[in-house]
Amino acid sequence: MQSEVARERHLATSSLVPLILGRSKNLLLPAALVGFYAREDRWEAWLALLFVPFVLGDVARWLTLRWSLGADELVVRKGIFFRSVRHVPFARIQNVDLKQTIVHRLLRIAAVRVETAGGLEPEAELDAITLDAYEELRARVFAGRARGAASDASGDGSAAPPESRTLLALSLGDLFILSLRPVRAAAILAAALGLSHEYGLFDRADVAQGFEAWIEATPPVVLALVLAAGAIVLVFGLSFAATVIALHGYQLEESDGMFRIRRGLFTHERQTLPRGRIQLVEVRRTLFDRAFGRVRVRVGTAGGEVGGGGGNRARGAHFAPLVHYEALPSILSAIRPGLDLDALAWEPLDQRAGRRKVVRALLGFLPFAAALVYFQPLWGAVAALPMAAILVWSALRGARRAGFALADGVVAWRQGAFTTTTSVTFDDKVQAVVLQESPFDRRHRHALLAVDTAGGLMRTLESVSVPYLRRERAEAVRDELAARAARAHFRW
Amino acid sequence: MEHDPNAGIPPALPPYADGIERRFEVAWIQVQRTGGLIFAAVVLSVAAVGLFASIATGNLHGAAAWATCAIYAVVAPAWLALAALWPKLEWDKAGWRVLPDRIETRRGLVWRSVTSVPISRVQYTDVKQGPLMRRHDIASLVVHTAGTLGSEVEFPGLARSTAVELRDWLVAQTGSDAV
Repeated sequence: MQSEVARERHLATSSLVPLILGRSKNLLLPAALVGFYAREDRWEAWLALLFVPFVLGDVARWLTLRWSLGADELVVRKGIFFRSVRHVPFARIQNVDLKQTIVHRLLRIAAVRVETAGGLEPEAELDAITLDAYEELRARVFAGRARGAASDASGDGSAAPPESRTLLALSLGDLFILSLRPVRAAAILAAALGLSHEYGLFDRADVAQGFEAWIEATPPVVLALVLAAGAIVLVFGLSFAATVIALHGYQLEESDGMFRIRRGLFTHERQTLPRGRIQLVEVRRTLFDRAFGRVRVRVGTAGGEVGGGGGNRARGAHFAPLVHYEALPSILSAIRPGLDLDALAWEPLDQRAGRRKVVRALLGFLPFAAALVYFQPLWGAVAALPMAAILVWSALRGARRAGFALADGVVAWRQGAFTTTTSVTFDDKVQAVVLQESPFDRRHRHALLAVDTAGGLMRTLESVSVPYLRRERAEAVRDELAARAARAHFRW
Repeated sequence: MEHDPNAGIPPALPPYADGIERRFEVAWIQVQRTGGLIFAAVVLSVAAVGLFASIATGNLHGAAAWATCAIYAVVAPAWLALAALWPKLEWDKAGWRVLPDRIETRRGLVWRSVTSVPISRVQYTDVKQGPLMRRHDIASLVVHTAGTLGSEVEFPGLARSTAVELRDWLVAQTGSDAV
């Protein structure tokens, strides 16, 4: 690999500030706890000195990290005793993500992660480089991409001008809808209550006394209403605040086959994702979203870490958090030209699917119902019957609404009785097609058709996996899909 | 979508790329059976020694001792019989086939699956041989894809020469399809 003589760079000088602040944050919390519990002069206080070697280690790592841009690769050298030189070819880079905390923003620097396919952690992490350096890195990495794409341009006809268009921007109203998640809100409230209890807010005598006096002076109905309203406002307020902090200024842009996402109120995050890197698309619509005419779109890529809370999970969660139903086709066709879920020819599952789903749901419910009736013979039965009815209803509804579609270059699967999930992948992203038969499937001459892609690392995304197909149909679909996949070149 | 008319259609097909399903080598039954029996024998003899020791030292006595012996008397032969019979039953349902553009393996007795891997999706391959397999001159070909649910697809009981030949052919095909 020939590379021009490249300038080696260190991390930005000012980046020592967030580095040390970050380390302090990690160590100050335990230190504060030690101080909290050991108010007098105790030996534990000396533990705070551990801070020093950590910081020295950080500074040493910071000093030894050097990076450079070769003709077609990123080179990162690092290490004090064990030195490593890592060459990451631009062509292998999946995405270049940027993260700026407030401190980063004040110093005009950014933390940058470079991810390739495979591997559970980022290929290279440049903890702090200047924004100009980030732009240069991004331009170089993806300039190579555009060249490579042009040299074998056999599809798309996407010689479009590289002007960027905004596919999605979230308004405050959108953020409000997104924040209406009672479960998460309740968790935040519980955490807040727990913390305030832990730190003794309720134990302070004046607060407690004032509270008691107020409770005694208020009629019970009013009291209950006020408390309930207060809890609701608090819960949803906190949830809204969390959503705004994460997603403020959310924007999804596309230019020349490249998606750019930016978001964040305090901490800015920017992600760059080439269209071709999308292995799996998931469109989800809850009952709630349906009421507002919205859907949520997530995508799976081959890069990144599993469940580590890093860039990849965030990207999956935030590709298009909330989209007007009418705007969905424009986003989908930006992912894959011409992709339109409503235009697909959906094929239903086998007729017996409903029956099998009902049996399955009831068998799963049986132990619970038995326990209910055993402990509360009368009320248990009264409660169990409507529950069973709801299960049967949703099983039948789910089976009726489920289906799959094979279109030009696309395979899609939709499911769900109330929350509908549509998973889409593409011929050139199919890695393997698996036909599975359980003993129950054999009894009904059924089979399950599972499509394996490289984008399933995030288990939160539903993959294309179609159950309860007639075996003959499943085999025919398998043959067609495998043949189509073999014809289409896979590109990461 | 990038369609390449020549993708997946190799210049020279090996003789078994005919789409006809083949069985794995019969020796695979023997290998599985021997392995399963050795494992069962080791576990059962450790259990027998433990049982004997507890009774001899008096830790286990009376009805409990008789009950444990009875359970052992049922479980031990059942396990050995299963270990002896299962590989043949599994072999009966297993198979593999090679098509010009994909390879397939059929596995499983109770939960059955057929996995199809387009040849252009093969990332790399392993040919594996345990000591028992070496004695019967069979090998297992493992095909790795970039997938996530089942990125390793195993062809467990091929003749060693077939496994190597198939591997060489796959490598030659995928070499032209740079990712």
